[in-house]
Amino acid sequence: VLIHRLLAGLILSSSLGCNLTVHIHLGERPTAPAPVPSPVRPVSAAKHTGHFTVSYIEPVYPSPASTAVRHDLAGVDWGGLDTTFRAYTHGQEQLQTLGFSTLYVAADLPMVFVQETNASGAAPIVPPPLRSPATADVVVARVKELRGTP
Amino acid sequence: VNSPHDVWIPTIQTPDGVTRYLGLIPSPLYGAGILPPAPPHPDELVPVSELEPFDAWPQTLPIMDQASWNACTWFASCQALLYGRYQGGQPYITLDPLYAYLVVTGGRNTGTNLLQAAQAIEVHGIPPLGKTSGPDVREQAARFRMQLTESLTTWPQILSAVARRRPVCGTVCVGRTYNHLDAEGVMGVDRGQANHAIFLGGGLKFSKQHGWCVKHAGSWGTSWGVAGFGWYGEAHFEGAKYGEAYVATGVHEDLASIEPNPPVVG
Repeated sequence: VLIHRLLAGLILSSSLGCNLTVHIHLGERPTAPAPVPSPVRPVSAAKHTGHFTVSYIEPVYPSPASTAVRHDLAGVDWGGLDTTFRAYTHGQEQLQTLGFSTLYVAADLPMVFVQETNASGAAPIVPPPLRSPATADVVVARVKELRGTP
Repeated sequence: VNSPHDVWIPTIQTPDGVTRYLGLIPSPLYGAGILPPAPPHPDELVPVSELEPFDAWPQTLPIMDQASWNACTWFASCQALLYGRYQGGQPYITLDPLYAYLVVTGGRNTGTNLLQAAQAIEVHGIPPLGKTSGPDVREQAARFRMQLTESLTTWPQILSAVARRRPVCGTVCVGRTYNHLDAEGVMGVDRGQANHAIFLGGGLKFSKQHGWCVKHAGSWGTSWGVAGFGWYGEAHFEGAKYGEAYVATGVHEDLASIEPNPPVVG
């Protein structure tokens, strides 16, 4: 019976492509083979399905590198990600209207905030905000990560 | 008298055969009501070592054509507003700078001042094309305004603003050589009183002959220059007496009438 169980375990394990280490302790009651683990799947973050609004807020005198990021972000096909993109400069009155002005200090800019519009029409920030993204791809990757898409 | 009205305005004929009026009116003084030079800020100027060449004109923005209207300040400023909207992620919309120009001039084709145009656009805006015949034209214009405009008075300021992908409007002296672009796409340099307002932005490049140059999107159609574009260097800036320039650091968006609207946080 012991030999049969070991053989069965070996066949099962090899069919799954697993390495199997067999420990035989004579004199002990043989144990049942460990349950076969289910295939490993990547653990996805909580999926956000609402419309996103990505807001890029920059200082009055940003570096050319960070404004190049803003320019690239303006050229992204945001519609394909069910996302709206906007860029603002610190000091614009619209930042107060939209409620951003209390969410940052000027020294932290540029910053990117992602809002998700929910069924009730509210659009809370999805934390955390991104600080000084090096490229537009970093921001797009963040949106895709929140969507749970590769 | 060569204009439809009662003032003499210098003209030039562009390669497409159209007579262009050159009636930019320089500011007499930086007085009350006109944008003052911005106070110096330690971070304002981008160090030359950090200037990076780029040539990235947004495909969605067409070259404008002011035809024989003496409205260079308004067409250049309208392009600045549209470029700023693009950089802000706002959708393209066709605006009507001619309407706004004729409101300011009282219907005369007499030319305007660049900084006053900037100020008027910041306060009153430019209406969309096709929305100027209704009683709500003022409200329509107010939807499309620039914000945080600053006067620029030095070449390093202009370079820095363009390097930051900001919309800049400047001035140039257009004479006999201006229409002759060289192999690098740089306009000919004429020296004298600034007589034409132009949009600057969307590109930056270094030339051994001209030094750093900024891209210029013209307002004389696509048959002028290189498909409507040229490059503007320090010699153009310094060669234009009484020249002036401004940058629009932000662009207002009307939250109530554009879809999808940016939502309020919360």
